[in-house]
Amino acid sequence: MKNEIFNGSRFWNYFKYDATQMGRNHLRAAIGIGLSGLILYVIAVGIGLLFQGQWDGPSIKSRILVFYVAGIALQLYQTRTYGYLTDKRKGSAWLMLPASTFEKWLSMILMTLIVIPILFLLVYFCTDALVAALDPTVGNSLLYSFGHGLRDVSSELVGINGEYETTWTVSFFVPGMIAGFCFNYLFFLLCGLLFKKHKILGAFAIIFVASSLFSIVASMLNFNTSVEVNDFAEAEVHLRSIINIVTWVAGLLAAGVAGGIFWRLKTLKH
Amino acid sequence: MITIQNLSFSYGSKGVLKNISMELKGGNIYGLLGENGVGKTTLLTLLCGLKKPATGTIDTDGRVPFDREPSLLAEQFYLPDEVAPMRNKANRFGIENGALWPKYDHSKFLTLLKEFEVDEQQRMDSMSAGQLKKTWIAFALACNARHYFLDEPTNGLDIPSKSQFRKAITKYTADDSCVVISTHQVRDLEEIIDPIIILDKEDVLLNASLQTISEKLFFDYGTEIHPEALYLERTPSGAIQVYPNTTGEESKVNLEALFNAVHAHKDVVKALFQ
Repeated sequence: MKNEIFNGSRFWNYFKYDATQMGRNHLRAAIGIGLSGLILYVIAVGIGLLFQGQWDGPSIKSRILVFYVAGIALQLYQTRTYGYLTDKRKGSAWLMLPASTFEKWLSMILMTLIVIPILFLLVYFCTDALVAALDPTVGNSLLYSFGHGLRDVSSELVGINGEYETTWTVSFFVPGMIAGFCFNYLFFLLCGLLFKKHKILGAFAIIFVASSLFSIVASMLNFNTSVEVNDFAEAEVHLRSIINIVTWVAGLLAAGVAGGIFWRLKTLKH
Repeated sequence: MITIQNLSFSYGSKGVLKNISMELKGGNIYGLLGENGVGKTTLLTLLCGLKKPATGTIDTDGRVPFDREPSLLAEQFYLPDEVAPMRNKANRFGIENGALWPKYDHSKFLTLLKEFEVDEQQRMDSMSAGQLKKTWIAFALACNARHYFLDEPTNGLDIPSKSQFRKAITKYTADDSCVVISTHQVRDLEEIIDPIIILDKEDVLLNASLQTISEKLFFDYGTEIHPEALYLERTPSGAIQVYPNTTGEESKVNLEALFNAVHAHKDVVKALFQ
């Protein structure tokens, strides 16, 4: 008798199905968002030629800005990837597919947190690197600039931790960034499953209500955030503890939202 | 076997099904009849696990449909009245979705598409409503499920397709399959549905085989008018009358006349079949 919660071959069958549907319905959108760096480049060169009569690629600042905007656009797009589940016809068909709720949930999480972001980053960084290699007016590729920036941040922290070490910086900031990324993407995915219409608007309404509540609670509890530090070692301890708290909060929120997605799938009715 | 015990369901404060109990056995094609809004679709969605009963239980071969266990999902198929227009060619749809049903037979799917005269290379989101419905019906039957819950399957089908559907449902379902068909188009399906379930607001008015119905009720197609008839409908060739069968004589059940007779004399018919 097969396990009703998780079965390897059944999950693999479902994952392949999910990936195929994802490719068919959302690949173009994900690639389109991934190509926004290239679109910026074409626009910048076009404007340069039109108004200044010279070939001039976009600045590194505008490229980084567009990269973040594209990341946010992809984040908002998560409300659409599985948003069809709230549609009676498509949602009913999906619920009746012979896979367990856990398998469907796991596939959804893998698609949202790994497959789609990796596809986006691959398209974005590859086109960016290609443009940087072919056009010297653009300067370094974004990947190179990010690596360079990381080394700069690490060297700035010499005064705090007493040594120059990129891995220390990475271990310091990256877990929190990953937790924040997971929370953001899963939050918009959950909103796509919760709201039948106006999914993005619904997501922002939740953010507004949650942040208002948080502000009220914080003001009632009268948090004292000012800390006196005597030396850099003490500053490092405080900084580390703040970042640890932020990382844990983001991680717990991401886990909570992932749990919320599972609960939504388990109780979804049509 | 599907056992429904004291099943109730409501949409907010509006009660739909109340304290319903019945058994649905394999080897039958049940016809689920009822007026608009009595809960036929709701009952089907409860049976397949798309909804959770407010009270009462549904037991399908020892399992609870709303748990949506993969082994049960693999043995059942729910076909809604309005089916989804997938962004896919019919053939690819069969291959991709069929991979999830252990007993899916792709050659059967293609055969059915051919019989239904649907182009396997046509995209489903560019099909007419009838073609789309036939594609889903073909897929449902190719899944070789044990339990079928079909909601208005002949809606949107043209006249030849209705005939093809009747043939397909009898030819391509296993002998022990339990098929429940909800329909308003009783004439389309009266040759294949047996037993008949007639739902009323929050009640089951009738759940009986055609054999039992013809034992209890007589369907008179003659011209002589019987004042004791539960239902009388004049036709160009005479009349259809339904009255209690006191002689034991057999007659051909007319589903429309039966439905109208049951609705006009709910208590009399319920007492007759108890």
